[in-house]
Amino acid sequence: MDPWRILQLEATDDTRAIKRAYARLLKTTRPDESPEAFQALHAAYKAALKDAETATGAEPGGGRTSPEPRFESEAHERAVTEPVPPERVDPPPPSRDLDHARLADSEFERLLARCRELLDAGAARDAGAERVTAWQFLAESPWMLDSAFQHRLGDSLLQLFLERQDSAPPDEPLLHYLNQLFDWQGDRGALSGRLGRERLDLLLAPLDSTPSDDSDLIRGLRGGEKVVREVRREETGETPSAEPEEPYFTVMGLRLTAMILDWILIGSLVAMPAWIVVVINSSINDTDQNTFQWVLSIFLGLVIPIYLVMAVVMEGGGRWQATPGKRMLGLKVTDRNFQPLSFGHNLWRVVCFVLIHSFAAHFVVVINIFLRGNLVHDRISRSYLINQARSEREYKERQGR
Amino acid sequence: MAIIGIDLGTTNSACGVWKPQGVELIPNRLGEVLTPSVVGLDDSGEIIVGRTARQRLIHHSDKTVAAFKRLMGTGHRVGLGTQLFTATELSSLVLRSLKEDAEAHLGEPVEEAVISVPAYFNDNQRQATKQAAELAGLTVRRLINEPTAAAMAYGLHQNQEGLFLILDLGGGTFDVSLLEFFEGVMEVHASAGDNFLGGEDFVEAMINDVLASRDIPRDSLPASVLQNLYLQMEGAKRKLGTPQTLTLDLNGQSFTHEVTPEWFARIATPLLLRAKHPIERTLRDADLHPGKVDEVVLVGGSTRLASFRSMVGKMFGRLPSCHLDPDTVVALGATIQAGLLARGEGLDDVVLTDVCPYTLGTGIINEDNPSLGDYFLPIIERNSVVPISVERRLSTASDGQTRITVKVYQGENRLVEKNVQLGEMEVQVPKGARGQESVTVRYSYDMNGLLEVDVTVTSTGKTYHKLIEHSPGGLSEEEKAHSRERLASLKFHPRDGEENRALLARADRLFESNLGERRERIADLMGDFEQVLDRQNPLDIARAQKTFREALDFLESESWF
Repeated sequence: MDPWRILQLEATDDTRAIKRAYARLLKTTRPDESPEAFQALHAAYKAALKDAETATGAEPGGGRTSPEPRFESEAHERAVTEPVPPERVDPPPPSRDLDHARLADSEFERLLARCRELLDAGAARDAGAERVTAWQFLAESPWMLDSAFQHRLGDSLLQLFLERQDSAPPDEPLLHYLNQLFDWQGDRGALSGRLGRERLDLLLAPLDSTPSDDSDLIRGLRGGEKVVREVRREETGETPSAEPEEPYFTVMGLRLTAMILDWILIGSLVAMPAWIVVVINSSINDTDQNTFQWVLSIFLGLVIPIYLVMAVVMEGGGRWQATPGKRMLGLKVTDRNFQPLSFGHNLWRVVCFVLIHSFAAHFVVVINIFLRGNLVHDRISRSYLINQARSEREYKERQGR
Repeated sequence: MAIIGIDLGTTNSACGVWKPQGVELIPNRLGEVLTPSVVGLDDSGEIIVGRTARQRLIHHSDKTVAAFKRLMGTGHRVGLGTQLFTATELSSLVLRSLKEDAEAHLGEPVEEAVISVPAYFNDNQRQATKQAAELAGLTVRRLINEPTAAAMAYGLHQNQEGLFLILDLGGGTFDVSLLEFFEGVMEVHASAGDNFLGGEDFVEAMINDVLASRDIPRDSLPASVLQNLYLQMEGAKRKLGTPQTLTLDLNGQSFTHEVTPEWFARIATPLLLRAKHPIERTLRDADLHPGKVDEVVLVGGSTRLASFRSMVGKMFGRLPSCHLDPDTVVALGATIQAGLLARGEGLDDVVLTDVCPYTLGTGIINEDNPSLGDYFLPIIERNSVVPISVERRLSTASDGQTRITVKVYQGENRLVEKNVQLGEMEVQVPKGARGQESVTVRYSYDMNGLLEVDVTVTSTGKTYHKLIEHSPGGLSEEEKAHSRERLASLKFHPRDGEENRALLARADRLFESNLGERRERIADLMGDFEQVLDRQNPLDIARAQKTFREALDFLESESWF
């Protein structure tokens, strides 16, 4: 659409008039109230300004108020002057007199001489942290904040490195530090024109590949006890096992089954042979008299202790976070953040389990029935027994829906 | 009922209200205008905010936290005592304190606010700010960009027309905005910034240097010693003009430390040079020569640094202005905006137009080279004027496809993997041959800097709508590790011959620093080159390398900054 029609204006090259028209219309076409009309108005405004500028051609007078100066000619000039650092005077330093230039020159020579010294001494080759610190004198010079000076020094230093490229390539941390000071990376277009693209690319290659720093976030945060990064729940459903959203507790029946499975396992592996040996021995001496007592004593003396040791070892540090029986049923012991228990924490859990059941077994069992899987010793030891298998299954179902 | 304007800063916060005679900054319960953005728990477990909390940073650093604005929009939590807080929650506590002060001052309930955010805050961070306000019982009428707020204060204060370049170096963020003020219009031309550069970084660098030079590992210091060191360095930073000798007490040993200009320059120069990049980018995006700027305005407490001022002076060849108190100017501007929204008495009508500082787009299948991940398809280019609504049509990529996942990304890289994912949406499409079904994706970016996405299936006309809601935290550690791993695994492929890699990296850099047509051209060139690389024919590669390099040379010789 014709921008002039939208602006309700005769075609003109007077930017002032265009702005006035735009401002007037904007009062009734507010961006927050009528976004579409505003976009059209804004586009018309920009188009009109552009037209006006092309119409005024190379006339430089309108520059001050014009938001869109013509660039090409300027850009060209800069591009031409850029590769000749010593003559470059933009932006003008505070005072442009001879003293200033002389001071800059002497500082430049001083710093460059020191760089050369460092390079010749092989500082760039030494291993260790002093690599970067050895170069920090560069940042101490107040001249570094002067663009022209900084560019000039950066160029010369880069040349020094290029001359010595075969013997002493700067390593990554140093390169990063220097790049921070001289922005070789950002300036690479102009630089490679002057210094040779291939050699430069080779020298600066480490800067390309390095990933950005992640420590930015936490740096600078003050106080507070710790910074915890929230575990992000997988939303894509590609790896649902990673973090089920709502874990289920394990009900009593399943727990008992797991425990009995463990006992049978221990019994068959360890206690059974012992029992057979004992029974064979005892059958010689006194026959069928106290078999029940034998079983009980072996159970209490071997199976239970082994079970407890197993629980301490496997539920805490172990990869399963479960005894074999629990593992078979898909259960997992975790802390209240659903993270694995530390060894000490798990030991405390087992101790709780033993103490509670040896002092008030009946009472506790009755209470436990009503606790929906989060049992007394779980609560006291601040841990959970999660039904991982069920949690994952339901999570997948939810994902599938 | 009044709308208050709030500057929620990294180091300090402030708020104000519009009165017919002008902006009135609201003093807090201690009678001060600035409330330190510090939150803590006192001994009885109650929340304290502001100067009192800041004083407790030294001896109760386990229960006090400062500079948490950096964590906004991420999933990080900070522990105070036994409780965990997100940055959003902590910010809401500061906001609540400001709200209470305002209510006490005005004698009426305050429920609405204009809150300033760094211009370069991304969508996640803006959402988090909005949520923080909601938690504090405030409705956000507008999120205003901090440099824009500052420009409003300056523009109205001086009633001067022209082009302003606002440099806002706060406690934790650095923002650059180029604005034009004319005929009651405040137009933002371009914004850029660095979300991780601010006054706190200077202090941090000073501390790191002191510790490194004495071979003291940071972890070995107790929290109170470290906080004390922070305080000493902060003090030293404020008094740089005068020679100082600090006595540092570290791990029971006493050191003296001379704060000399040379020492500080060594610390500050790399950071100051970093601040140059967003300035240059803003000017480049606005197609503007530094000489065209009418006034360079300094905002934010950290612009008091003499070395920052002299750097800016040298860049623009003139002295920057800072007539208004850099600590409160953003609050002033936010309050003016609040006054405008309430159509406040005694306020000339000013219309504000702003831009979105990031490029927003979606991922498209990368057929040339699937191993690199999807390509980024820009939908809203950075520095487009907002509110804006842009549509792109996308079609199915394989036969019999029934679902299209539209992922929303923000960033400047050609590969989505290197940009920030904001969210995603899945739509159902009828089964059909490849390319037969299509969807129209519409991105709408509003005045608050918040994004909405609409997806319409062309054949069925069904529309899916979504206000982007985020998984907190952007990229997770696994995702980062994952992408790094994938990059590393590419090393053995022929594309990773040093030369080719350097060429592609260079093209990537160009892609990031360009816009529009040029950007598309660079993307095309890269696509072509990658295709040739994949064919693995050395002769072709050599030929393509040459043309690719020449094309890039040409493109680069055109750029002028």
